[in-house]
Amino acid sequence: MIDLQDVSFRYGDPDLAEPGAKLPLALDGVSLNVAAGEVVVLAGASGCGKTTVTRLVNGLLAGRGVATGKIRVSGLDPASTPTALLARRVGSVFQDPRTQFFTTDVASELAFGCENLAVPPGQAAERVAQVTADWDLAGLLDRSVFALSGGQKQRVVCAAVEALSPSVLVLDEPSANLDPPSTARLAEFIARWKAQGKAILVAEHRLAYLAAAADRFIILKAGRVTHRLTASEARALAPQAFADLGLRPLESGQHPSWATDQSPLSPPPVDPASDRIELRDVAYWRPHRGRRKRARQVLGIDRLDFLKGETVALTGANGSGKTTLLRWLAGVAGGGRGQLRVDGEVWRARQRLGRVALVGQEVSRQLFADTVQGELRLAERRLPADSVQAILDRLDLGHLVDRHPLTLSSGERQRLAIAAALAQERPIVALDEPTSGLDLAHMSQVASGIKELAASGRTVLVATHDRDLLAACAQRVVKLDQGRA
Amino acid sequence: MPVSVGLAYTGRPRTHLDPRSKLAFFIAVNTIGLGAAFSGSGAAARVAVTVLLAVLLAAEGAWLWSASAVVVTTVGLMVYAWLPPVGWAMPLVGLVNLMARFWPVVLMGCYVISTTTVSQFIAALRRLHLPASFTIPFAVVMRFLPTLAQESSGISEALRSRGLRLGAVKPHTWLEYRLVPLTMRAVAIGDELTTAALARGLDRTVERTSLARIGFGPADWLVLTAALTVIAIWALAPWTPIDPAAGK
Repeated sequence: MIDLQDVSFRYGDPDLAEPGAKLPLALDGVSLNVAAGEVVVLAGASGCGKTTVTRLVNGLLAGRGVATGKIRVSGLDPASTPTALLARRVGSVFQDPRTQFFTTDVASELAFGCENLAVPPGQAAERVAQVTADWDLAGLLDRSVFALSGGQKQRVVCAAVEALSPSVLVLDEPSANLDPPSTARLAEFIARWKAQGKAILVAEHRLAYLAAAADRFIILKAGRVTHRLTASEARALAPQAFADLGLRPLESGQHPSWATDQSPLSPPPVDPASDRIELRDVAYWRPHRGRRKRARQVLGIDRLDFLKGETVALTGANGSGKTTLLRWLAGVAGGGRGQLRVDGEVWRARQRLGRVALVGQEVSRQLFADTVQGELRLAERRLPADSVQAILDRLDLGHLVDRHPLTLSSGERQRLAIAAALAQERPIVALDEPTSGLDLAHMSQVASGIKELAASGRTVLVATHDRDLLAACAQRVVKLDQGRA
Repeated sequence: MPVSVGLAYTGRPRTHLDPRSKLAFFIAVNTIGLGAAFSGSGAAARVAVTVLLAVLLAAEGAWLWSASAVVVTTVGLMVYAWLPPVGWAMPLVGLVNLMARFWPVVLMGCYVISTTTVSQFIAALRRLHLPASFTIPFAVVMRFLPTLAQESSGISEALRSRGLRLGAVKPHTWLEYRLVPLTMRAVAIGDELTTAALARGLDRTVERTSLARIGFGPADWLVLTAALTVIAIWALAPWTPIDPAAGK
């Protein structure tokens, strides 16, 4: 179904490049094939070319660069096939479910593909009804896509793809923004598609959830295939071998390199009150469709204590209130009630705003300066140059001091946001999903950044689904369930 | 189900108006709100438009927005009638006038966006025989605006958390901090929407079908008649120069 033979790819337009200059190779002689009913996993560190392969298969790179070699997807050449025809055969699921919607409500989204392909309305309605039933979406049809949780969004995306009944599926890091239950569900979807005889190509960092369905693993490094493993070969491989390949482990949270400093998850602190950060009666409501009366409570924590200087991971499903808790703590969430007491002093929202640093989920919204070093000086203008350099060095950003923050890779940006938090003298640092979509190397760097924060005496609260990160740096885990600790 | 009125589709509305009637009334609100005078037939048209707009908003449970339309127009008309724009009153009269002109337009725009799905919109525009090169960008804007609004509030949250308030930094610097990330995100969102559309087969050479159920009911005839009537009143009324209260 998918057949790539000796495919190389260079991004960019050769006509615009300087004469003689060669555009860098993104892919270098990649061959792979995926048969019907087969699941092939493409793995490798960030920038290895996984996404390039998936986009060559679903035709999204047409006009973005120069490809050589032979690409056939269900008998068609994606580069020269009209969009509508290719979309009938190939379904695509991308990393961030938020960005995959074209319309604003679930029903329109499910119908969108069929409408584009000019499927007669009667037939299209049948297909939409079918996927609505199959994917358990009847209760969501009227909803705005902006009101869905991450897991629900990914379910709608999968259903919308299936409405076109493609024979080939291409998934690019589909689990990056999902909590463990939603990831497990995604694994079920993939198994279902496999049973239906579809050819499935998945590019992923997180391999654990794919272990059951995958038939083969193809490891890429700098645009070349370095390893081809069957499922049984991959399972037989020692965890250390995965780490050497730059991959997340096949079994989550059990990475060998962390076995040494992986601390047991300790019980809640019993130390004297002077060492504690105390949360009391924290409650937060989200107005329900604009109406106060029908507001939905998203947070209701009677008491929760943190030890000063400890690193605590906040876990829990999508929508369990982790983000809201961090935003409340940082004083940016308006409304809600509750107390945060430190040394017997109550910190009001305005005080928390200046004392709790927040590194939110979308780092690209949080970088404002025009150089990396400038970013650290934004809030602390008098920070001496050697301190700036020291902080950047500790986070492996020392060589990037004069780069523009928005030109950095996602892993670098994430670390820069942590560096900015280090530069600010704030006793509490809250991080929201700092490793979603990061590969092993970048995840480890973020983990060491968090350890830097902890080593400098700060109390660090990390909301995360990432069990590998949790194993790497958390001293204690607090699980939120429907807004309760 | 009640909908909140804002920049995004918020769920199935209580009243079922065809997108075409909404658009007609949107044009009426624009014409009257921005163009009509504050006296004579212009004032009558303003009252008519405001009442209907208030009813539409109230029907969706957006009481506050509904009341705001009534208040803004009433104050606008009262100020025009009783407060001559001279001396100290001049800036105040100008401001009230501006609000009375623009606020109904903003409200109606939000009403249209929050009660109409993208599919309904595309279907309605296609039935008006508008080409795909017009309908698709229109649909993109409906998805783009709410996303950009989300980004914008995220950015201002991050600015506050970093202590980069207006006042703590110079106004032009603050503006730069707000606008540069927003512009970058706007570009990225455009890219994401293109990808989403291409991956699902949106192709201008294909004549799309539509599953959206649209059609005229009794409420539509009422709204359409009202829209056409007020536009007619405005168009047929003797031409009056733009009132001096607008400051021109």
